[in-house]
Amino acid sequence: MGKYVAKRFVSMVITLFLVATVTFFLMHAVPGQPFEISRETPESVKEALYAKYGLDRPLSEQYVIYMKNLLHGDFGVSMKYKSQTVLGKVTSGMPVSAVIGFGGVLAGCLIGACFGILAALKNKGITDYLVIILAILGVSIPNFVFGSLIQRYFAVEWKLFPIQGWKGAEYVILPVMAAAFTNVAYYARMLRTSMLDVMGQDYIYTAKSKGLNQDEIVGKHILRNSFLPLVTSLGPMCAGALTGNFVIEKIFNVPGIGQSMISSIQNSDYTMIMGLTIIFAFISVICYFLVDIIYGIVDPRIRIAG
Amino acid sequence: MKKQVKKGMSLFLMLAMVICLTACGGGSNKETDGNTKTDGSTAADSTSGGELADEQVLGIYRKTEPATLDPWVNNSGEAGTMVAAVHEPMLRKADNDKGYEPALMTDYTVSDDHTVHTLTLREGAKWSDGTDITADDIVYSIQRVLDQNLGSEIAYKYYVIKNAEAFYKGEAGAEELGVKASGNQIEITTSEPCDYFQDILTGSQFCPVQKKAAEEFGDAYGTDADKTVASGPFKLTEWVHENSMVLEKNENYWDAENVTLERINITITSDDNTVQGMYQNDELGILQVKEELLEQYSSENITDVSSLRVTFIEFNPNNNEFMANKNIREALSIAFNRKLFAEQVMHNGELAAYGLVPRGVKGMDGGDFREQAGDIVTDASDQSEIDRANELLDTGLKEIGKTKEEMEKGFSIQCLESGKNQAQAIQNMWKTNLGIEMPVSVLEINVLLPMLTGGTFDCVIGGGQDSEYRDPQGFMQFIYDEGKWDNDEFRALVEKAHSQTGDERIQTWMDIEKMVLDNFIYIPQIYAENHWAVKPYIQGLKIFDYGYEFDFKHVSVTK
Repeated sequence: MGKYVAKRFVSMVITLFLVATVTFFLMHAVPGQPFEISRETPESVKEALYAKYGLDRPLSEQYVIYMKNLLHGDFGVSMKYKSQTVLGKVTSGMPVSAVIGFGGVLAGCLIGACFGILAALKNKGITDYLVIILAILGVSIPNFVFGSLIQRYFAVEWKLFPIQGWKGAEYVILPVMAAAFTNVAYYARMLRTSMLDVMGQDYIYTAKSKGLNQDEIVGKHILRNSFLPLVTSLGPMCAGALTGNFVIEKIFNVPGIGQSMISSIQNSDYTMIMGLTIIFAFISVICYFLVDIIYGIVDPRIRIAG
Repeated sequence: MKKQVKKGMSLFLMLAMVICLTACGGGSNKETDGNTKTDGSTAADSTSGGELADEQVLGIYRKTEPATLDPWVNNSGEAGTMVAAVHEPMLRKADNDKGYEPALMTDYTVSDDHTVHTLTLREGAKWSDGTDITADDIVYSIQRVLDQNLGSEIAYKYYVIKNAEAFYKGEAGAEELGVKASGNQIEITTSEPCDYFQDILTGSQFCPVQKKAAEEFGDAYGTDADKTVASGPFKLTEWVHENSMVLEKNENYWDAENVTLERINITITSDDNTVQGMYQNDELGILQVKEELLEQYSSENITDVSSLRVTFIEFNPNNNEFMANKNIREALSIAFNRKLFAEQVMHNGELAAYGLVPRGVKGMDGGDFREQAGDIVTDASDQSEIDRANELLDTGLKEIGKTKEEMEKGFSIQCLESGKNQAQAIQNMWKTNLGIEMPVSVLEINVLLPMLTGGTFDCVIGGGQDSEYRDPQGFMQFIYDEGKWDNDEFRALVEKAHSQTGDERIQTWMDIEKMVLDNFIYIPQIYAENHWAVKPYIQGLKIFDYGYEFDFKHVSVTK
């Protein structure tokens, strides 16, 4: 087991190093610059700016300097917003994005599961068809359309919730609703399929023939077994939860990390792009690392083969 | 059964789509209790409104997060509004015949040759922390922006000061720099005669920063609420980055007794639906209305503000053999109909630009530059001119030995996302009139800017030039500064203008404008205009056509 963990750890470090290197050179290969200098700016001013941020040096030298700083845990300061450090941005934006992302997954999963159960139990009934329609809508309507829609009605027309901002609990509801929308559809569909599958299994017939009543069959046998694929899919769902909602963050003006990532790329804010990419990569790599280890515990064959 | 369900489903989907579409339109056309439409350069400038509301709060929005509120570093007109709300300029812009009202400067004298400018600082003006604003702060501010370590993108704008460039490059010391202070007087020497110096002083770029704070925070001054010391009518009390800002009344402001507004809530968002909803629910007092939405907002109190900006098609004669040919450039210029373009794309035929300098710029003897200079370029009035354009194109192509097909592949029209409609309209005009269809490529601003500065573009549409002061120089100096157009006659004329003052100088700029346009490198498109919906209870808001957009100093909110 120790050897397995060590091996996974080494590959994790290599992955991070590769991500950092590739991002660094790709980022500099993309045309653009972090400064918005007017066209009449004289060379003297341009040169001073480039020198201030070390951009006048050869790319390889910049790379070495960046990597050295990175090893010391120094992610640097945004080139455009001079008071914002990369780590500061992550610590302020990540929790906000997490609330919306995980809130969306959780709410979507719970509501979606209920719909799925209803649909499966009332198979081919009107509820079932409504859930199918919902599932199709959920998959086909992009979340920025749905976000603008609920913003218009719940906030602008009916004034139930604030239109935008991030100042308290009532500001959380609409963005989480928007983020949950696709998930509701996804989980409803998944649970419906998986339940119908389980309901056709032999052991359900056995349970029925034992004389168990409907509630016991559903509660003890069907649900437990049909939740398995749902649990498996939560992993990748959560990985995208932190960064996947930048459109919703934009609509509801939520100071999350997804929005920062987009604006840093648009601004060619080199330090911010690098820092955020590496931190995101780090989080996903850690997640996969943990998953690998759990798999190892659950299934000894993986451990031996790995 | 199954078929029925499918039918029902598609109906449902259609219904859902219709709901989406109507919702996204974001209409406020329900409100019919409209106010009269007003035209003019400033809005709601009356104090005749009703009783003051209990809460003096104004909500505004900005599309992008300001990089800084440091007046000496800020490079954005949008952020300039906040810079000038928090920092006091030497003179505040106004719409009286002088163009300004007193601010930090109480007196201004200039030497006969227009090179030595003496500014008298207001006695008793204070920073928001209660300390005095001194002449020393101003001298320090100027020396600071000319220090390479600050990394200001606009440092070159201060090169008008004597020896500033040399000081910036480290070739001259502080004692050689043309800025001196004695008592409450500041003496600024310009390297050449400058009779528009007071116009420059109305900009937000000359608002001093506190020496103590600037020394403490360095280049991070102005990037957070606790890293900004106010001298203007408002102070920055909260800044949640990429989200919101709060400005509150500065009690230590020299003219605090004339400031009624207590608080400005600034929302930073680029989502159009969000700001439209906020305006509808009175969370915003001001909303910028795009041309295509003007009809929808026709019942609102709309103020059209022509902005001191000209947009043009720019050809690059140095990067491309087609563009290097003057006949081809002229053909393309004739085949572009400004009037039609202004009517169809900008929804206002009046905006068509027949010169490089927009209306509202200082001309000779206090008049208007544009009126005096007249129309320099004209639209093709009939088919014979279109025929001439075709002849010119053929001649040009023959000169470089190319065909139309080769030209279509030879270069592309470059534009920003915001200029896509414009580019497509012009692409279409060239196709109709000349039978050539050039591809359009849409680029990000930070991709296009280096192409412009590096001279690697072919033909840019929707670009333009604005000025921070009402002077023709602001619209043509950039051509000289870029130094890409290598024409001795042109350079000599610009240098001549810089040695002149008064009407002579204006006349020289008129000659320069004509010369530039005769070479078909810059093809004027339109004079820009913005449309603002302003809530009727917002009084005294000043909206400007150049530099910073708003002044909130005199704003009050009525019931």
